[in-house]
Amino acid sequence: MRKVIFILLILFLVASTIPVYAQDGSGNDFDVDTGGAWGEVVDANGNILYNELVDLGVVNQDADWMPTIPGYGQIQAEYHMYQTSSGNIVVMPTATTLLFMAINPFESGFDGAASQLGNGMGVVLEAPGLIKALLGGYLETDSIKNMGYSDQDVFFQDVINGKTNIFTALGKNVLNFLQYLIASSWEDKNIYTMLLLYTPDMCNKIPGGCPEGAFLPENITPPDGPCPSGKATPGKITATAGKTAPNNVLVVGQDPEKRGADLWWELRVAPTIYTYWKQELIVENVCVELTGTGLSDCTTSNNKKGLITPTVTGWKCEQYTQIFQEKLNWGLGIASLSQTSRDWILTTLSIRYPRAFLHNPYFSFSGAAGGFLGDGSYRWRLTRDKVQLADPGYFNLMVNGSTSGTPVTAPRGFSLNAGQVPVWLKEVVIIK
Amino acid sequence: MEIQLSRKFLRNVMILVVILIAGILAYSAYLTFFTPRESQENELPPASMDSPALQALVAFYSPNPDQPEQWMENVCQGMTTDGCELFRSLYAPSILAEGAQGQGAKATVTVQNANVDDFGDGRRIWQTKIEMGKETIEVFIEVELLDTQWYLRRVLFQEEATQYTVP
Repeated sequence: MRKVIFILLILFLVASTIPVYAQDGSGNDFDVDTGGAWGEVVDANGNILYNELVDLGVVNQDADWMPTIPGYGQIQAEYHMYQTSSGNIVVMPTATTLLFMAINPFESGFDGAASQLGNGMGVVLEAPGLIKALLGGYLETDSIKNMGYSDQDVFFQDVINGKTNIFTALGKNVLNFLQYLIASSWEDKNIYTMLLLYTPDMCNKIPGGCPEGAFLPENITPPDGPCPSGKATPGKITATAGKTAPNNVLVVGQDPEKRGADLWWELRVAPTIYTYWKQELIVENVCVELTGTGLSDCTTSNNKKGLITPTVTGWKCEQYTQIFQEKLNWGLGIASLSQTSRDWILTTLSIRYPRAFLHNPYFSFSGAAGGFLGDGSYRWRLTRDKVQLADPGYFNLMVNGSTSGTPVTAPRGFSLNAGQVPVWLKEVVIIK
Repeated sequence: MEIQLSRKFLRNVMILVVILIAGILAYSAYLTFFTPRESQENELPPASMDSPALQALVAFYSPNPDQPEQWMENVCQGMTTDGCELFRSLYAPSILAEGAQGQGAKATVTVQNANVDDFGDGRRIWQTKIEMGKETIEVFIEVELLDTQWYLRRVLFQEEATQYTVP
């Protein structure tokens, strides 16, 4: 019965790939940020993105923290390693290796990873918790008690500190336990218990050192130097304005109906385009010489049997663009009599109409609403009916205001000419 | 003075006596049929070189990297089924990767203690001495009694064996 419960528990722990939790180097748990480093490795559902990873293969390495076969030496540590497009290296230890990594967290590099990703569901992302989860029902609690431990957690910590022997606690279950660990390793790629992520500069902390075939900053210089820094191109601000009625606007002083003019102003703010570059690995299908037996599907440059294998061949600066929408913080629709018209009223017209003066040469309106259009631009439109224009001449229609700015650009102030409206004066002409 | 015993009392006493006798018989049968080690210690097969366990151990320490499959088969012939699986998946790859010291040389094995630990279910820990060329090492193994012979389950890791060597 105990065995059945344990098997169910292990299936629950191992087969569950969601929710996925990660832990950064500081030891803080957080939900997987698929936009961060882990975003290159797993999707939001916790599935490993194998198609986007360079498979560095299964790596067997000597590791002095693995258990020793008398007369032969240590069991080799075994990992499946992958490299992401940004150069990070993801290490997936087999379950057996993972256990001994957890028992020797410092020596094995378990503690040195930039980030750890486990399958959640109670697998605590620190060494004692991991050991506890892996051991599960194989532990003989009586053995632990006989060793003087009333608290299992203290026992696990002492195992890590080298104060006690985990095999003693396993008692006669060692073989079955090791078999379970082997069986729960990489038979199914979607099942994993722990992923460790190392940034390229942490090569020396990867268990067993840098994997062969990994493309690391130490062994190559990007051919064109560092990528250009990001560049923001602010969206163009355009303004238009005009009148909808009447066809000919008469100064209100000569219009018994005081009709005035129906005016409109419109402003558009195009989205800001942010262009940036990221250093990425160039992965090409290369014919790699076969090391063992197997099917060959190509011939290498030195006429050896090979296998077409995705291989890292260099760095590139990949260009990306990001679009940021920008709206208005505030805007004013303005109708301002042109300077030429002002001068004409005060000079030429004042000859015919003594004491002619400027009645109201400047109007300012606010209060319009705006919104984003399908192309990402922002549209702001203001209308005012029956604006009482009392001065003859040309009214310049303008839009003043300020944009909100974007995450990559500061707010922008503007004062834009948008159109012109003529305002007529009826004049009696005596024809001789 | 005459003591009066009721019929009901006598019946209960009889039932008690019958239960007691049945219990004694059942316990005797249990000792006879289900705990053979203490009573039949002398009938256990000896830890001789003829035992599959020791034959497997000799093969274990006489690797042949040129014929790895043959070597693993030789080892597994003297192992239990689950022991063989563990050997093939965990031990053998590392041994072969190590360059298989002692290649071609046949190791000699002697048993120093055939009852270091008794798990009580047919499994025991033996202490052995292995000579590989000039090197002599102490190896603890887990064996299992199947039918009438001892079979090797696994070679204990050095870290694991310390529980039997460190006082």
